[in-house]
Amino acid sequence: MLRKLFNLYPGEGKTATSFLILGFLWSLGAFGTLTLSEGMFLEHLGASKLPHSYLLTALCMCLLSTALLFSLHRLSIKHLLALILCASTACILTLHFLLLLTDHPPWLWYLFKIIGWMTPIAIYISFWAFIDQYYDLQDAKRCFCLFNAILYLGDAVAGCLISFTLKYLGIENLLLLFAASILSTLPVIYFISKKMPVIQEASPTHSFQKRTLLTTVIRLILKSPFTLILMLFYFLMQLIVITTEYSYMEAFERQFGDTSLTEFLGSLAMWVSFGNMLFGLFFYSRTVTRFGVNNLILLGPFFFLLLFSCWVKNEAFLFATLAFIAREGMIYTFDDNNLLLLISGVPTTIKNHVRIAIESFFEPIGMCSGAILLLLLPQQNKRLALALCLIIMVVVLFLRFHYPKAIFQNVKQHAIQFKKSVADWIASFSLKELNLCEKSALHHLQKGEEEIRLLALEFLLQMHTPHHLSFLLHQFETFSIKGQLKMIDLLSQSPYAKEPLIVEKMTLWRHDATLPSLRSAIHHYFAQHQLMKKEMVIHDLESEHLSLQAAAILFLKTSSVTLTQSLKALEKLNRLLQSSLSEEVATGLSILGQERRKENIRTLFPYLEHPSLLVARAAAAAIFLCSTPGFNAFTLDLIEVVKKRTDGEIRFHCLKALDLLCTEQEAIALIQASVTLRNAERKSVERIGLRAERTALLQLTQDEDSPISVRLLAGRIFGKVAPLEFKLHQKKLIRKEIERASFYLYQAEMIRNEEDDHDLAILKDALFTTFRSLLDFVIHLGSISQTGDESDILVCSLHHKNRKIRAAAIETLEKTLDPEIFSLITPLIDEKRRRLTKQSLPPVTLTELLETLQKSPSVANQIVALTLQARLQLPNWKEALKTKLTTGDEIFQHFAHELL
Amino acid sequence: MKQLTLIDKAFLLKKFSIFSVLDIDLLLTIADKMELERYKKGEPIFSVGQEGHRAYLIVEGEVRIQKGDEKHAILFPFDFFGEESILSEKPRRYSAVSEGDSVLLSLGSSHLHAILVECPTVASSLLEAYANSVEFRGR
Repeated sequence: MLRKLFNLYPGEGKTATSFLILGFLWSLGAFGTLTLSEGMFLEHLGASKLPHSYLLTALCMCLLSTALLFSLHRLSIKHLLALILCASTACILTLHFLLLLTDHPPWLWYLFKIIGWMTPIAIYISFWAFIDQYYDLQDAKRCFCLFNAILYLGDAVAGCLISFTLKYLGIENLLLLFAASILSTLPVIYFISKKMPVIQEASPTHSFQKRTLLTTVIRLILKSPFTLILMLFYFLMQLIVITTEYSYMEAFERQFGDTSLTEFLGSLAMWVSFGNMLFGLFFYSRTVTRFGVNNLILLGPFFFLLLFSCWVKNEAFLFATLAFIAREGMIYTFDDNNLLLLISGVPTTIKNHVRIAIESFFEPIGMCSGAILLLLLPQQNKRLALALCLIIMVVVLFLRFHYPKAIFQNVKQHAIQFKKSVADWIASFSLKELNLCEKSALHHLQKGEEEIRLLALEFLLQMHTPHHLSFLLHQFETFSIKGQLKMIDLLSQSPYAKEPLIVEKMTLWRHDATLPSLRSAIHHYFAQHQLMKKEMVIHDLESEHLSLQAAAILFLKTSSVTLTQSLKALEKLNRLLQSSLSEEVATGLSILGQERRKENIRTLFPYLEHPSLLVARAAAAAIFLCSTPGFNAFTLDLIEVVKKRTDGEIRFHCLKALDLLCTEQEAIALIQASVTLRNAERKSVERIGLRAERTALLQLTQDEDSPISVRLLAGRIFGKVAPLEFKLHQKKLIRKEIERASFYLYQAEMIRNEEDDHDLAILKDALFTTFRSLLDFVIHLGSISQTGDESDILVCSLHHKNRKIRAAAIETLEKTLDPEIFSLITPLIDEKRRRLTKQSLPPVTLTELLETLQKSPSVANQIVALTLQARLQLPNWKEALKTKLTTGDEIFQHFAHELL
Repeated sequence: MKQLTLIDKAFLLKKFSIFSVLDIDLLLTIADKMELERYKKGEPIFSVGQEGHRAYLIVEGEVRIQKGDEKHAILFPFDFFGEESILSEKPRRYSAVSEGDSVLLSLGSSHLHAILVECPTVASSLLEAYANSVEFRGR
């Protein structure tokens, strides 16, 4: 009951209780000291001295945050928290003795105020960094507000103690009590760190416990727009807090004078804290789950805007009280809880640095800036606050916009996308990075291993820097023959292939070349770029070296030469194609390819079935070179090759050819043939599929008899081709698939794990696998419009082993999907929540279940269903098997023969 | 060693046996996910029993591999270590300590898994390295 009331999941109570005890004990001590310090300061020095105290506190806080940042690299979070708690106790005890031993000079109240401010902030930062190690973002949404609420309870109890016992116990004894409360947290920390496992921060970079350079931190902050806006937002909130506090303190002082102000503040703090606590305990987690943190962040700034809009015009005491509630209530209940969740959008490596910067560094800077503004505009504090509110509203809208992107950016950091080419990388570099890389590549080109030098050369050629061309060509002589061959190939593929300087150098190298391999490479280069002259190659037709002969054949076949020479070349080519040596056949095929004549495809096609992989690959490469848009006599056959041949190189060339050949209808056939393709190959099909007809794409996406991978590909393409039409069908389609996914999940969970029943285990596995495929399909479909090509990353992250990454992926999903769809999907992706909301579907018999699986488009499911039907001797299993034998694919036929 | 550019990291990767067959596109993509780490003499890189989240490639210096107090092996530049825990999902079975000042490139577990899935040549090079290091097969 209590667990449900606090929105906790089964098994979370024990952990939560430990953190609640820890939070209560330190907050009682730290907030008690804070409340005492504020009351004492006003009673002894008055509100007019507040700006001075802000300046002093700001200075000390700057020192504190520097110390915290310094300690972050040297201490574990647990030790940092323990150290801060011990230091806080020591400070409070010092105050106790100073109050006892001195006659209360003014500096003592300043010191009291400074320690009062610094203690809760320092503990608060390390407390949340400590807790953060044990929770992921989704659990944090439910639990962090509870822990925050317990801090208000500590604050409320401290306020209560001050209110009722100050007269009897005196400040000194109360301070002793608060010090004892803080010190008593140490055994709790020891217990937590001994008994509870930490969730490793799935940092894409090294753990921040290893030294992270300050420059790296700053660079990462500057690279993350969300972090920058988040920091700006909390800095501005700090300004508004200081301005608000000054405004209501001024009003309170006017109302109460020096007498009974501390008691009033104590009792008001008590009630506000009580309200904060109730909200944190019972409402925040539900509110944030329902509306999302990106919407809740609007509430605080809006409330302040409303308050100051009225207060500027009306001096009523009610507004001062409301301001107190806004500062002590809204800020703590919303903004602090929000920050605990928003911090997940900051790059993982600098999360704790940003937390310290916001909680302790911005506080003093905000205080300092606020104090300066208040000193400069003594009578304009409310107008100043109103102006600040307007700025904050604008900033918070930017923050809201960037939050989902930032969360997804963090998720993306854990994935690698292998789709960037060198040119893409070069395009993504800043000018400075480009200069550094250019310098580095030039350096590597001149020194080191040849393989690296060639990489540097490739990089520099891709950089499109013609001023380096002469220098690059100068390196030719320094390479080995293998390197020179590679260099010729790189130059041939570069945008400078026909530059006079290169042609001149090639001619020179050809002249000096003694090795046939080098000469033939240069001949190929000339032949490929129509730069060859007859006298260069005419004698090579009879050469013993295959490559020289090939270059001569290619030239004679592509240039205007005499009929005799042409026929001789043809004869030589035919001899190569009919050779029993694979190398000769492959050379013949590559000559046909380099001719680039679409008619050659007819000759090349049969070689795709050649038993030699070298020949088949050469045939595929040549077919691509000869492919011309509009010539589609072999397109469907090529699609069959893509479907049946498993070799990556053959598929690669065939897909490139299909990119040139496919028409609307054939694009659909290619998508249907994509079941067995690899990820990178599917990307090619996706590009080709863009020319398919919308209606056909929609039909394929909806077709439940097609394999899920095919439907997904069709859906992705449809989403790109017709985004608006896709959105119209998206919800209906997703709802239907969620229903199917729920069915498979429910049936899988209904099967009990019997130790010896292997068949049931296989059935359960098949049902789970189908559920996961359908769920992935749904997530892809739901997020395509927001994440585009990156929906893959989202799906992979949802299956990631690290809880923090999974939680961040769910958060992205929440911000990406339609809220209705997300609420339907949540029980499927969140196992803990699923356990709480057990659904019940109409029961199905095993026979019905196996029949459903048998009709599934997945061959694996069909095999599982038929195996179980056979083992259980269910009626008609043989007939079903025989039908499948005639219609099923090759793999199924092998299986059926075995079973029969 | 100065701060490395992406292209420096990519060229360095090419020198490691597991990445030696990759082309520059892939090397740049992988290099982008690599983190440069420096260790001082005697500084532990990881210890027995810790969870393994990163694999390491030695760029400069030497790394001592030990089980308990016993010195097991010394690894040199262009050797790699620490990937076993990621692949087996078990805690570290040995400690790694920087023998002198050393510079390493490290790769996160999720990235290593992604590379093995997307670049079969890296997976086969890794298997080759394992095959060479299994003593009874070498005999």
